[in-house]
Amino acid sequence: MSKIFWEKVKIKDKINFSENIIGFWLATENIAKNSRVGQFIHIKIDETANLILRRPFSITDVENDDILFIFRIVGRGTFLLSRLNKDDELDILGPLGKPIGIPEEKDILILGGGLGIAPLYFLSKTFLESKKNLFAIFGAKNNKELILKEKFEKLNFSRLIFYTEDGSYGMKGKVTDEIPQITKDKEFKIVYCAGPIEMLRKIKLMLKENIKIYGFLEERMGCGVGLCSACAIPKNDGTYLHLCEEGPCLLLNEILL
Amino acid sequence: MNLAQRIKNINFQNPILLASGTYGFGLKFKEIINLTGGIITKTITFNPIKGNPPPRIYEFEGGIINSIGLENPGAVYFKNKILPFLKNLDTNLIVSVGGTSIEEIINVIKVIEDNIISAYEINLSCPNVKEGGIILGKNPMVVENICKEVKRITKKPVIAKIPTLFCNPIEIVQAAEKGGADFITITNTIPGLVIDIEGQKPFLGGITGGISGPFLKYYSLYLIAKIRKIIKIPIIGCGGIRDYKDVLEYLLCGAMLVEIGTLNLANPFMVGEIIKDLKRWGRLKEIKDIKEIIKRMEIEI
Repeated sequence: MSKIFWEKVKIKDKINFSENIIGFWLATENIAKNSRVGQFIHIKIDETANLILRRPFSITDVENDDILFIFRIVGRGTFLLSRLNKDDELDILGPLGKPIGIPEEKDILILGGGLGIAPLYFLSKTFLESKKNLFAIFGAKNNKELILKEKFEKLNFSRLIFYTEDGSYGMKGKVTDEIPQITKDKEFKIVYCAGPIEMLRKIKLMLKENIKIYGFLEERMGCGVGLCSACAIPKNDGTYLHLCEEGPCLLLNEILL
Repeated sequence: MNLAQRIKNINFQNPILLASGTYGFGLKFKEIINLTGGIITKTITFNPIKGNPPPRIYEFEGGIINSIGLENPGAVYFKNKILPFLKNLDTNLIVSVGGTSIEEIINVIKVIEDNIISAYEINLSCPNVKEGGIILGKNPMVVENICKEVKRITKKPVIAKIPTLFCNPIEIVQAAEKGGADFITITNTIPGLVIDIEGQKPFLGGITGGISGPFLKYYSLYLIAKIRKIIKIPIIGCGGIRDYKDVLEYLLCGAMLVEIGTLNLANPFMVGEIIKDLKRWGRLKEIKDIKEIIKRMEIEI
């Protein structure tokens, strides 16, 4: 287990992607420089401790000592978080979860839907630094919810295709609409994906069984550091693994989605 | 303030124990574990248990409800693959033992018995498994027998973590004491149910769960105050501790040690802060020894 840090950090910048999608850049002491692709941070929401558990968020980007994470307001925790502003403090634990190594394969397919796009920026940036050929498809409901497109456009993808369900940016439709064509153009042996569970299920159904599919999963989490066994994910063989230790990016071929 | 106590031949460097199920098996955060009076492992059963389907945890204002389902790798795995890594712990290793029968509990201890274990806590009150635990724990005769049988096969101190609902807790603690238990833990989580209105079904994968967290402290303190004159064996207070003040409440009320659980899920480093704060408070109040606090409060209920 790599070292876990507990830090009080300042919000360096707040990005309002839409009314309910927000990003925070945090200035950390040790967490950013120890963060690897695939890891997450665990954020204390409520100083009054009415909400006891932290909330886990995938790391979207790391620059020097700063970490970017992006979230959608879905409940009370994320609502309270959304009301914070630049210079406010956050109590965070990190980096948590299992880092993703650089795969051996040269050509990699990347599929991101909705907020699932968030962890794929750090992943893409790192894989590109290792001279991989990345073919990426990102999609969301509409232009506003299609986060990070400007940042992605600056990266050196072999192919980069955007989809919106209403056609307000890029192609009209869903990320999965592109899978038949892109897998016909090129034979992939490995895929990284993140997005709603229905999207991940569909990807698993559409791709050949010999393709390794790595996907970012979500589950209700307790400690986030491998102590409580709350975040159980069912495997095909009937056993469970713990998302905070083995994930959050898992080989979906082994997982019962 | 001196925080150390020697109770039943065990040296506790301070009264803070890590509650079962909230700090794994002691393999992680060893530097934090070593600051405490001891770690109580996740409950070990004879055979491995894979645990309940997700979701396994739910949060509400004032607490959480968990339904892990006693997930553990079983006694043999614990003995061979985990225990060797706990040899260098610098504090008490207390192993939580569970089972669906007296025989199972005895067999677990027979398998895992080892010099590096300081004591056993018998989990008689896990509310989120279908069999065992809480069912055994609700019958005073069975509780007495379990304590007796366990004491027969081990010289180590035995802690009985008893259920307190849907049974008569007074009879249960008396039975545990009669059976030879060295400590009583009050209380475990209490049973709870979460409803998912969209799905019109129970929310938790294991259907029911155990409620813990700050709200539980008040129930636990009440029980301790009620029981402290009925039994002579030391009480370990457990439920909802968030800071050093909560620890002091338990000690004043009559607990000699406390277990911290839910708080570890919020922050595994926090127990270290609580121990520091306790010392600081003692200095400020010019109290030389923690024993001056324990049971200091008079109460009849």
